[in-house]
Amino acid sequence: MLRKRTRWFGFVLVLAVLLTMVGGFAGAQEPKVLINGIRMTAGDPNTLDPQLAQDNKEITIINHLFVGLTSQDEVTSEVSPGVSTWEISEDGLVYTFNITPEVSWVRYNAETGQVEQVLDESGSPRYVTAADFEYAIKRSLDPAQADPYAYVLAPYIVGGVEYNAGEGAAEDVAAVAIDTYTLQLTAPEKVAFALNIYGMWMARATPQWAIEDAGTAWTEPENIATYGPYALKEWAHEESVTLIKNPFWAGTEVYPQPKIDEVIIRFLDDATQLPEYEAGTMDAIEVPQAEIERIKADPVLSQEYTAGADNCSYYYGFNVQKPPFDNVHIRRAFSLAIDRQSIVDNVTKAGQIPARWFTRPGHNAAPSLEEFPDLGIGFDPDMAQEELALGLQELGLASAADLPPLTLAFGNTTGHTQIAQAIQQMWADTLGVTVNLSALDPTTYFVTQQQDAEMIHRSGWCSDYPDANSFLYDVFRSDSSQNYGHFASAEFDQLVDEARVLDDTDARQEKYARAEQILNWEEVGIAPIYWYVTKQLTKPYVERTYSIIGNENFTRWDISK
Amino acid sequence: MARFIARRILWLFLVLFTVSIITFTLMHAVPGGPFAQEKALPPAVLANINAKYNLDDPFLIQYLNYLGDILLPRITSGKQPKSLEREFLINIKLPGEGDPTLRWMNWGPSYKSSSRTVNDIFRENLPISFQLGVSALVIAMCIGTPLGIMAALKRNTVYDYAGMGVAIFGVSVPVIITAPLLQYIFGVQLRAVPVSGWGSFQHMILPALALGFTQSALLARLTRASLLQVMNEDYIRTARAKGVSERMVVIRHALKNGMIPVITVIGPLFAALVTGTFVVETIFGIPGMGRFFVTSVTGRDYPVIMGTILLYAIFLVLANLIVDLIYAWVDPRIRFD
Repeated sequence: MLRKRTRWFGFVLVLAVLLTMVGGFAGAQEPKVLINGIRMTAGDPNTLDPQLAQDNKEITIINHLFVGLTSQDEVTSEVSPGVSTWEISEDGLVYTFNITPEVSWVRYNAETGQVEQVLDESGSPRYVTAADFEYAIKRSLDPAQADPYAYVLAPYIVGGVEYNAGEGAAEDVAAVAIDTYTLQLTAPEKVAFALNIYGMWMARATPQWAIEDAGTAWTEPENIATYGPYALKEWAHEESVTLIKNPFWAGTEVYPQPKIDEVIIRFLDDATQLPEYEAGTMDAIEVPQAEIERIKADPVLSQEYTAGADNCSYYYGFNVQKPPFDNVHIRRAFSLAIDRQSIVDNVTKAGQIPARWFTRPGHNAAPSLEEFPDLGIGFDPDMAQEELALGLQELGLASAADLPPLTLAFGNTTGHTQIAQAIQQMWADTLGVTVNLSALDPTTYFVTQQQDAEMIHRSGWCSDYPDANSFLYDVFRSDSSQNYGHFASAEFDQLVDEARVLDDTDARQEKYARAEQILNWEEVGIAPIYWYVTKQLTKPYVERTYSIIGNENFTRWDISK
Repeated sequence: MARFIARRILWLFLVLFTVSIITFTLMHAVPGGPFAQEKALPPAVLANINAKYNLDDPFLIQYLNYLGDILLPRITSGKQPKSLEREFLINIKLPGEGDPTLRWMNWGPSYKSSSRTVNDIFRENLPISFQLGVSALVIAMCIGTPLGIMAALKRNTVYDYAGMGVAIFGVSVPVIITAPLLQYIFGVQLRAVPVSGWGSFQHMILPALALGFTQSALLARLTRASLLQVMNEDYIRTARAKGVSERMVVIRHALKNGMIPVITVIGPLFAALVTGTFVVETIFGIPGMGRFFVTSVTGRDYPVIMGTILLYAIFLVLANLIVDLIYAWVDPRIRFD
């Protein structure tokens, strides 16, 4: 009896010690906190409302709070299931989304310090339903909402364009919740990238009850309801946003359950992010252009620096209606005379890629430099002079000196000015022409560019969804609102129209390559300059992915220190 | 004096009215609106947005609406729907049935932000800039005035040269250089204070120093020049002849008079500092109000442009009024009537 009791006692003792140890370790585990500045600038995000957002800063945060019907893998740019799987009808027009059951709407409770499920009037948890998506999609298209990105969604849902223009009704928009977890979207035509569009931020479920209750203040932490991998813990306006792990998030392929407990996103100028990073108070930052040489020379910082792929292109547009740039030879001469490699090496210096055409390689169906090394246009001073001579001859001018005054316009940031000055010099050296530089304040520049673009005007484009269509069709189809230089080619329009609805990616790529050849070489609507890269510093204890689609995905990051 | 103050307050309204007309006209005359951006919005979307903010109304109607929203108080009852377009700075609960509230001064929404109003900026960002501005002004006066006095009294000695050397350095090296320098030395290398951010006393040290130092140089030069002039006045000689000690001559007779030009500049300086400074706030990541003076103009955020400029005008006029009142105290020869 005594022996038995002793043994029992010993067992309890060992158990107690073990429990204490486990408890002690568990208690000692610090929450993992990431302090991020990537994709951020000084100043508050304009909104956290998915049906109003439009820039990188806002979308990076929104992606972690609201997950789409589909998600884009930030590394491969491929489409994968978000909070739903889908079936597509045989004619490719009807998309039936089966929404994952019981994805909880959640909210951070500042009093308990916990993320909680949002309950409905009857006290049971609210789950994300097809009706939430239907509401959100119609909210985006509602003319009264004035969502600046509605125009990207509208053409891909029957009735969308009419409703958004104030000519149709919400009931006629073909976004229908068939039952609690089934949503049906009908497209007016079959397009290869509809799934990309349906997953974009403006088509993310938003909480109707919270929006109706709190009005425009619904995105404040005390009012908001979200369902993604992170919840909104704090929004210190003009300073930072703090995201906290949502324990109710089950995880998807692209957005698994987060390993990092809290992500603090600070809104700082990149020139301030760097000293914070060097002081050890930020973990991942944007690199200011002016510091790249120092960072590359620094033994520690150079190891932590990455220039990754991005989703943007930098180019000069020609206004093909303004003489002498109504002559294709003149345009080609000006494009051929730009030494892109020299600009990348001596002006921008961050490892940008000299562009031979418009669409940033890496986008779905976009031509790549490996497969199409000779596509588009490059630096060739001899041919530039020949083309100039041809152009002058056609215009009946004796020499370049007889050309009318030439102007290049751009927004007056330091970066654009430096590039413009370098290219001005290249044109003077190779073509013997003097081009006047017109540096305008950015807003004035955008407006004049849109109303009456200058002979040569600086421009840039970042894709809205990772498909070549987001570059070529959306920007340079002859009727596009972004086509400031009035580039127009019937063959180009036909090619991008065809490529838009084809299934086969290789066939699409061929068509886009041909379209690029027209845009950059045959008709020379633009002079491509370079493809952007991201410039980031990351501490060695951060394991991370590098996004090529413009927004980072913190659920795939980890911290080990 | 009461009449003087009353008259000046009346003038304040006239000044504000004039400033508001000029600003409103100018900002609408500049090309581009609040929703002009690099990616052109399709006409249908732009029309929706312009309708949402009544930007499609005639210019005069827009101005009168704006003025009415700020000036006309109104009494509401019952629960008000939350709206950025109808958000008031002053809300006073009145006695009576149905929760009547007197509401006044709707400065309008920020067009750039979907969730904030100009009142939010006044409530949240202005106090931060105010705190920083006052600290910087105190630092500027604590460094600048003694430096100027020392330089004036020890004219053409090593003290004078050293003091004025510091002042010239402060005036000629812009804060865009000194601020990152301070950040690098005390934040990155010594790790003595946070590099950027706001919220504690430590956060305030570097930006207040950076801002205060530049301004102190201005005050030092002004104090020196003014004091030198006063020290040559007849009444100083009289005081000395009476046998007053040099110390008392300076403190009682020279300094008080010599401070008049300094007080004159402190008024506008105060208005400029407490409404925020763009460069310092951006470098130190301070959520103050200075940014809005610049970003609202570049972004054509009309209500924020109007709000910041009118606020600055109010501070400027009031600061000058206080300066005028101080004149009379410093120099009894100055009368209000």
